[in-house]
Amino acid sequence: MKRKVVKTLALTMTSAMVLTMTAGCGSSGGSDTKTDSTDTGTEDTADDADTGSTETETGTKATAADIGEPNGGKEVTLWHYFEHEADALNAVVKKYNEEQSDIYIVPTFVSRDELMKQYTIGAVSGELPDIGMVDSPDMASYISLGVFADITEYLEGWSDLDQFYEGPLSSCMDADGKYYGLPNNSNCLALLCNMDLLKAAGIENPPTTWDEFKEACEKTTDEANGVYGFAMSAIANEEGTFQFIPWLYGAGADITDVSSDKAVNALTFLSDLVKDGYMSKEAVNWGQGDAYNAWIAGKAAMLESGTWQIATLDTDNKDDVTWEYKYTPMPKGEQQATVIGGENFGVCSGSENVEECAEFLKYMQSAQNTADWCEIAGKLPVRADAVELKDFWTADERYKVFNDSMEFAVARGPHESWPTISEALYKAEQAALLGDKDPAEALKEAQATISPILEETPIAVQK
Amino acid sequence: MKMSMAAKKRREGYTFILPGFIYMLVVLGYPLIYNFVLSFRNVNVKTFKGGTDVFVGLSNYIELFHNETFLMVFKNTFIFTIGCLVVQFTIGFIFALFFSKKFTLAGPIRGMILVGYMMPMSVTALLGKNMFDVSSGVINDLFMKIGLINAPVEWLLNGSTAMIAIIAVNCWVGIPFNMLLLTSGLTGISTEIYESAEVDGANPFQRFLYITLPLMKPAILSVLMLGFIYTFKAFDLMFVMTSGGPLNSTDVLGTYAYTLSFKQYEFSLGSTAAIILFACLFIVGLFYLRLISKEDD
Repeated sequence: MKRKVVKTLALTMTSAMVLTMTAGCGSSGGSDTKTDSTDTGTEDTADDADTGSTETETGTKATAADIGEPNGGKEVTLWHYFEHEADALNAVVKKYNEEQSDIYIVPTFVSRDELMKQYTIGAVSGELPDIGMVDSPDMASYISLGVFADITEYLEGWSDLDQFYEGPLSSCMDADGKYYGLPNNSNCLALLCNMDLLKAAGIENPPTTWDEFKEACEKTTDEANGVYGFAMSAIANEEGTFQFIPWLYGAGADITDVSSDKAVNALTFLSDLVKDGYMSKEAVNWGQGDAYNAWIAGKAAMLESGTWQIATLDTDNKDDVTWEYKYTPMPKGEQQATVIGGENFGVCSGSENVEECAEFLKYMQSAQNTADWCEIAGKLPVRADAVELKDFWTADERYKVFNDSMEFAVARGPHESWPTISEALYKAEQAALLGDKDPAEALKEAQATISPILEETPIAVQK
Repeated sequence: MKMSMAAKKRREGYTFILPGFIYMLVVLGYPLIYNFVLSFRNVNVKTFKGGTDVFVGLSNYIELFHNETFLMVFKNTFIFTIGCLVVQFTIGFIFALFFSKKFTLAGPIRGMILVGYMMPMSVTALLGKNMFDVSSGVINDLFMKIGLINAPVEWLLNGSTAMIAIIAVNCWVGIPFNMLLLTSGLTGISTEIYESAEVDGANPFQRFLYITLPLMKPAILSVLMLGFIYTFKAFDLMFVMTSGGPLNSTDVLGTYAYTLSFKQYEFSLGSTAAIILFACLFIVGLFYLRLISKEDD
């Protein structure tokens, strides 16, 4: 009898395990759909990149129709996480594939999280693409891990290098000043105001200082209708840190001393917004896309918004409701500040075509190509002469706000342990916003994590 | 040399298990040993490329057990596992008993309960994330409508409620799993025993206590053991639903090891956390093995 029980059990368990395995397969695909990059406005834009492309194990490969027929050159792979910008990227690649026949570049879309995981795994296994895209603050870690190849010899003597802005370019270098890639685009944060809500509250112009900002928050918050004055992302990943930096630096503090009085002022300012009910506590679970969606839905009067969000703003802001909106630089505290975001491209270690790939990077980031691409994709150019080629960044009022903000934008890092520094910072922010700890205490703990890291390897401080 | 029949048979047996053994060695053995070695070295973002990592003995283990976050994660893992086991076993057992009664639709309904179990965990987690949302979640809406609460509960914004939410969602998967295994245990008990007990005047409670429970003992122990293993190594649920937040309150060993290795590039510390996870399960596994071999005799 007992045998029978055990047998039945064994059988059920086997089927249970098979079920778990199939469920496991499904889940890996499912989790990929969650995009949380510092460069994503909405999540559905991923579909654009999918059209007519083939799904591979790691991502979505572009087709010959998008990037030109094989040119007889050696096929090299390029991994990126551009969504609505993918077409513009493919266009540059197509042009290059047609102009030369040394290499044939095939871009593949891989979601940001998956891409980062693949780099880390690739550092061990050596399975890396030839060219890889990376969020600028992460580049230093990957350089340190050996994911990217040293391409200094191919960039030395390239006179264009002087045209690149220092912040973005420095994120492609290691401590010895060697180059591992080129910056592709920049973005920064500004304040997006729903002017309908502001005007209804009797405010004619977007706030410019912290005091004005807080006042606007107070006046636009409408608890009865679930409308908050302000929305931002304070999520537990790089996005949370990204959105916190403008406040930290705006208070006159910097990353080397986050327990200073000024830093505490910054965090207190934000946690008071939550305490006073001007900002939803849910910000701690919101990625930038979620905060953006709350703003689009009219649930927040003001949003800490990134350059890339302009591209989808008009299409998302048209259906049921149309807000009159206006961009303005991040409000000024002790000083005016915002943060630089953006992506770099590097040539990966182990590629057999390092030189050819480096040549492509130079081609892609030439003044004209940079300007063309940034205009289509709605990004800020990484080099000064590209900005001068078009009036796109000065004529469009919205882009002008961002372009002007770049003057006081601070870079994150570069530092090989940036992820750990970043974690300390967003955890402190979360603890304060959730009311778990008071800002001073939370930041003191963050500083305890950051200090030993910076003692070992200092970080360049931008004021 | 002539081989005896027994020796020949034995060699035949070894030949049969050889492919499986090699598979285990490559797919399980290698990563396990590699992980083990990593946990005794200091491989991180600084030492990785240059290969300048050195043997550091037990210092990774010591570091983790002095790390407040890790201790919290360790505790969370046990709270989560035990919380889930208690709820899913109790309800799963009740369901198994209930649906073993022969009534119309018992089969189809039991089948439908299994849907929760067959759903990919990340889908369940996404559903959970939306259902427990403060402002737009159906749970708050429902609880407010039936008057259970007056104001929306900030489920996923609060450490203890987030853990409750996570356990609830996991039980949605765990209950069918327990029910499935316990049902097969129940079908193994001959109805004749119940009939004769009934003739002897045993009431339903006595029948449960003196027939069902003792005869179900092997099934119950297996279910608890397997449930422990499945729950203890949870990852995708937290990864999707809360990312371990708020403030690590739903971080478990699995997600924390991932964070250390893949987010902070502290490969050795990540491996150490994984080895600790493994060690906990290994002990339970040994216990389980002893148990089934004892039952088999």
